[in-house]
Amino acid sequence: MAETFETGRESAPKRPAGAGMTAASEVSEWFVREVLPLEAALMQFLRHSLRNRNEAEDLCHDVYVRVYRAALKKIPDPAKPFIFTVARNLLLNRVRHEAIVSIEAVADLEALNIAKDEPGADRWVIAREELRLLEDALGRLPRRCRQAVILRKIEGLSHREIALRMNISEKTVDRHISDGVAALADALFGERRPR
Amino acid sequence: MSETAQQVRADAANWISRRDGDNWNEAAQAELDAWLAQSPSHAVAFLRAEAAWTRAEKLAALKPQPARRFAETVRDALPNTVRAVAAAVIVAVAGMTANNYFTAGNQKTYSTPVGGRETITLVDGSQIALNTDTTLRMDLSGAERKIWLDKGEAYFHVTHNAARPFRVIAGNRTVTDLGTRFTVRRDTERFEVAVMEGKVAFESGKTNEKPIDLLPGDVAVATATNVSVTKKPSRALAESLGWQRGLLIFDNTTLADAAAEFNRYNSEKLIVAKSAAQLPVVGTFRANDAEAFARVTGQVFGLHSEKRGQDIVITH
Repeated sequence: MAETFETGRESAPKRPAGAGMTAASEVSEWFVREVLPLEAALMQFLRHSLRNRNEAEDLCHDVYVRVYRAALKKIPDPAKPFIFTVARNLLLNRVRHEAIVSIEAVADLEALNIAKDEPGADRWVIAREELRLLEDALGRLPRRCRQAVILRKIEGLSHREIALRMNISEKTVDRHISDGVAALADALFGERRPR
Repeated sequence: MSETAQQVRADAANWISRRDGDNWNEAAQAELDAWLAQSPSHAVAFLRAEAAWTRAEKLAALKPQPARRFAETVRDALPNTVRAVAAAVIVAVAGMTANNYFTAGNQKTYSTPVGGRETITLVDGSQIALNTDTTLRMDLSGAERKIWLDKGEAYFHVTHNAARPFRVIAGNRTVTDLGTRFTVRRDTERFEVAVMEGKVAFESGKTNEKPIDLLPGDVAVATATNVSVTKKPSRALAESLGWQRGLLIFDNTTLADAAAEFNRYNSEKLIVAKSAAQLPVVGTFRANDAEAFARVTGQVFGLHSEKRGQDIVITH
């Protein structure tokens, strides 16, 4: 994907950070607060058009990169329509170059009705839901990996203590935790299934 | 973009794990900073992994399967903990400074500051663990082994010796060991004895009252006016001993009571608004990290917490 394809509102995507730009820390906070919660809907949209899971993940990541770059110049408000416009444009771009998705699927964005900036559900419900997602994700981890995450996050042991407890090297603990982080991220952000 | 999203995300997860580990240092941080600066692709993947790992703290806040399992491991691990404590004793005693250890006649005084924890082993092998903000004196020179709990809470694992009774005295109340593990807690208005194993005789200090025998699972609570004894499941008792490992374990404790527990351990105090006081808290927390507790409960219940000077105020 050598081609840069912006949303149309911005034209020069690659510019080093510098004066006059939004502080990176502010963008980071905004990204975690506003963008990541949309990943489930975004993935649903991308999968609807791509079907191939890895490809959807790739594209989702690309959307993030572009959105993040744009935000360094100016944080888009509201976030949701902007993100889905970027997603659609990236999809269209791919259609033109690789002919792997149908135009109809991409055009479905409005029909899917997911780009509207609707108010969030009750926060308590979200917290409950999130806990359920976390538990599900934990349950799906390989046994040793799950054990390491439980010892770290629930029992509060350090990696060294976990290594002693599980009788494995600290390197292996690092690997288990790393796998756990990746799986939890997918569970929390990417894999929200319809209830 | 030469790297796939999967690769970048896996790299980001590795960084989070490394930083979460015990070997993180400035050089590693510099390495991470350089990696992050390389491309926004790295930056967003890192933010995503970091956010997930932070939010996973919630796992400790409610009562999912793993938390329940953890409660059991605490219970199962207790005797081991005590054994491990024996090995750590020399360090603990040696570590005591003039501040918290002094001798007057045959009496020795031990104390811990707010948030502190000390374990001492007596020559007879008995062990005493002092919880936060606790002062006790002991005199082992006489026919009886005597401990005065002046304030706070302590856990006793007593090597029973019928010829030399082991008595814990708190004001006019006395707990006499009859072969036992038990805790004694003395607050301003309230006195509590909980027995984990064996038997103790409890004298509440009222004249003409026979000592009450307390058995495993018994929790006696004495206030200025009355004494009550209730039976607690062993799991609940084990959880109440979480402090020996620096943990506070709650099982449907109200937010107000949980905050009060934290306030025993920390100089920064949690203040809970009335409207949130009755929310039920379940989970395992580090006693010395009130801020994490405020953050996690805030996320779970949708509460707002705010630093006000030394304190953290939790409101709806």
